[in-house]
Amino acid sequence: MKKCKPILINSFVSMLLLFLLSGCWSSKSIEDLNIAVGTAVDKSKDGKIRSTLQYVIPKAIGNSNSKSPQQKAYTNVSATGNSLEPIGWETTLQREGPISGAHEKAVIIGQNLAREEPIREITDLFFRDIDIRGSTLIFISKGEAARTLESKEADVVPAIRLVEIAQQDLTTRALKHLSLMKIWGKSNSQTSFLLQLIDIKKGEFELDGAAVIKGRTNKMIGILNKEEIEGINWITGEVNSGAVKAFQKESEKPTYYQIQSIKSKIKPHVTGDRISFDVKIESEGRIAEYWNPHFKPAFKNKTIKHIENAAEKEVMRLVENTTKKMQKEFGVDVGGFGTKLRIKHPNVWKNVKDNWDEKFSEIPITYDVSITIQDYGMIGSKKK
Amino acid sequence: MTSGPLDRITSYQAVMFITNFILGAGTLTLPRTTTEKINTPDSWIAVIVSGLIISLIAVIILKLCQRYPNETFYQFNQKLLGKWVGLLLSLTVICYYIVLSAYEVRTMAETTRLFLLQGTPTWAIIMPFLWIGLYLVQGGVNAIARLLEIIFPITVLLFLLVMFLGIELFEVDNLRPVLGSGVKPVFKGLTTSSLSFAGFEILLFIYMFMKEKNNITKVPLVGVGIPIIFYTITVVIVIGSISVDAVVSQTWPVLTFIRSFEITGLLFERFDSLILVIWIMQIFASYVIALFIATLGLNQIFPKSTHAFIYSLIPLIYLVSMIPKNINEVFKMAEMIGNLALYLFFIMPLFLFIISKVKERKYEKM
Repeated sequence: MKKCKPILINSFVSMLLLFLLSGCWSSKSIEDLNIAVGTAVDKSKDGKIRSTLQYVIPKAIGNSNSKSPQQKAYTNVSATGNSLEPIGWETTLQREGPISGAHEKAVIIGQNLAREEPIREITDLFFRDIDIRGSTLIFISKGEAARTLESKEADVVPAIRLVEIAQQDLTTRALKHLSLMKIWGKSNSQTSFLLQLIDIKKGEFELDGAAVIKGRTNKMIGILNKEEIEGINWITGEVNSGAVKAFQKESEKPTYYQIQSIKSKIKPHVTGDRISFDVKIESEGRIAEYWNPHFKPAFKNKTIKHIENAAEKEVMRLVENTTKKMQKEFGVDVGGFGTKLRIKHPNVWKNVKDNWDEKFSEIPITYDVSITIQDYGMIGSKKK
Repeated sequence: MTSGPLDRITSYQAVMFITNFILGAGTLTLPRTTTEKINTPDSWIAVIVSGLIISLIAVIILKLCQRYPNETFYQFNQKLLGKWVGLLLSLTVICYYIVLSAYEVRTMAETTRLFLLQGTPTWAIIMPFLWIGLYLVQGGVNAIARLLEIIFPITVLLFLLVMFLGIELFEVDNLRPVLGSGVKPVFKGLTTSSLSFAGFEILLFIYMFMKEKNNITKVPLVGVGIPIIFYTITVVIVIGSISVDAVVSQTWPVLTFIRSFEITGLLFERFDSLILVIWIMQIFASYVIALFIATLGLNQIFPKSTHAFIYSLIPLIYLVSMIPKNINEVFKMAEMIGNLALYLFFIMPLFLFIISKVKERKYEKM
């Protein structure tokens, strides 16, 4: 008897310990959670803030072809209040279950609100929250933001689709996707920046240009359209695919150059008090479409040079158009010129950074575009 | 814990002691604390420079210890400073380590409560931590050394993996210009970045246990060198990814960085818990070593049973760790500990070293 006593005690203690193993202190079962994937923030009619939360319904995503094809994969709840926190609690009065922000994918701010309140303040909750991640993407909506979280198609969660579209960075006609963390630094240093703009067309959303956020106020001041975004992408070289028009005369149309790479170098020059910028843009790509009404053979280098020239002129037009818009219409630097000046001439930057946007609008910028066509696909020439 | 001749650690284990003790609670806030003072992207230079200074001090500490190969700091300081001054110094050092271990435990609890176990009360997080530490310290210096040997490779592997997975966010422009405002801001940041290396002084207490006592200058050099690499990688990647202006506003910049990216297509998408796990292991190491040194000190000053000291220190540490009422007071506690460390371990060893030299000369003259 005496021999087996320690074993008995040990096994009893071990069995007690089993109870400690069995689970988390404050676990919430995943079925009860409202998993928020998107938030739309609008100005309400009475001047307050209206926020719409999009919850996914996991049940509906997997089995759309079975019994209930009508059931949507998401549900939206919304409420009105002074700021986002009380609104969040307000929504718990409409729908059962706690809100989980750990899978938040997109924040969409309505244009009306973005023009009136600083972006940093509207999104404060998203930065501060422990669950919401810095990788959440941020957008501005042209119209009512809540409408971008709706879709007619079954089996689609609009917030997730929006993020997937934004993240592909496929064409220079859209801005490179921006996460919350990337704009935090810019907001804090009063740098002007761009946010992707969404518009609703026939009930479905579409990326349509960008909203200009002025650094000093952190509020939206205007819109750049898709063509102007092309200019931005050529200046920054951030998005590396898409196409560009490669004909100048109407009779030669259509010819399109497909971008395979864009390299851009912004060089600041300082002489005395005068600041100027040289931008050197280099791109490589191929001819993607060439209807070729004049039957010029692409086998000949002369033809290639002609098309390169036309594309260069078009890119030049794009970047100059965008520059004019930045400098003359909005008076903001959203092309990253300030950053380059800060790096190359930190002492000059110290003097100008406080009113950089105003200074920027008077600074001469020269562009140099060089495009190299590497190939023209499977067709080299056409016969009459 | 016996201080007898059986407890011996190898040079490699001594390196583990130094490295694991340095890498502690400060790592998660390091990019902010250094950048706050410097305000340019040059924090990483400050980290490297201060690391080199610290290696120098660590080597001096080694030289000091080599004069008293079979005694710890608690014993030989009485020979250098006289009985009462030495005793007072020893007690201060013991207090420092008690407060330090309380701080480590509290920071661990704060972040765990925020990011891992949101509803769990603080005491429930702290207590298992304290008890396991107690169990380990009872095993003595060898048990601790073996634990450190196990957790260190895991830390290196996971830390590097997670840091480099976020490389997609990295922008070189955030780190430029290098020394754009000259070297002056870097000097301003040297104190704070040096404090992040607090822990290098551990040789004062474990030298006695080392097997090899001569030709081991590489032990402090490697022991401090590894944290230099860790810290530099952390500062460079975090500032490079979220920019100086963002770093200074973040409570836990490293965690902010880790939560700013997701890797799709891999087995895991998010790596917050991985980094928290290795970081908790590092905090545990720091806490255990601090507890060990405190008990060692009490044991050597007052000849009583070791167990009595370990068991009485645990509730004391718990009470001290609960003193700060909110996160700001926790950060303040860190600052206080840093300032104390500055006097205790940056200036004092140099002072003792000079005294020992002077005394040596006196004897030679006699």
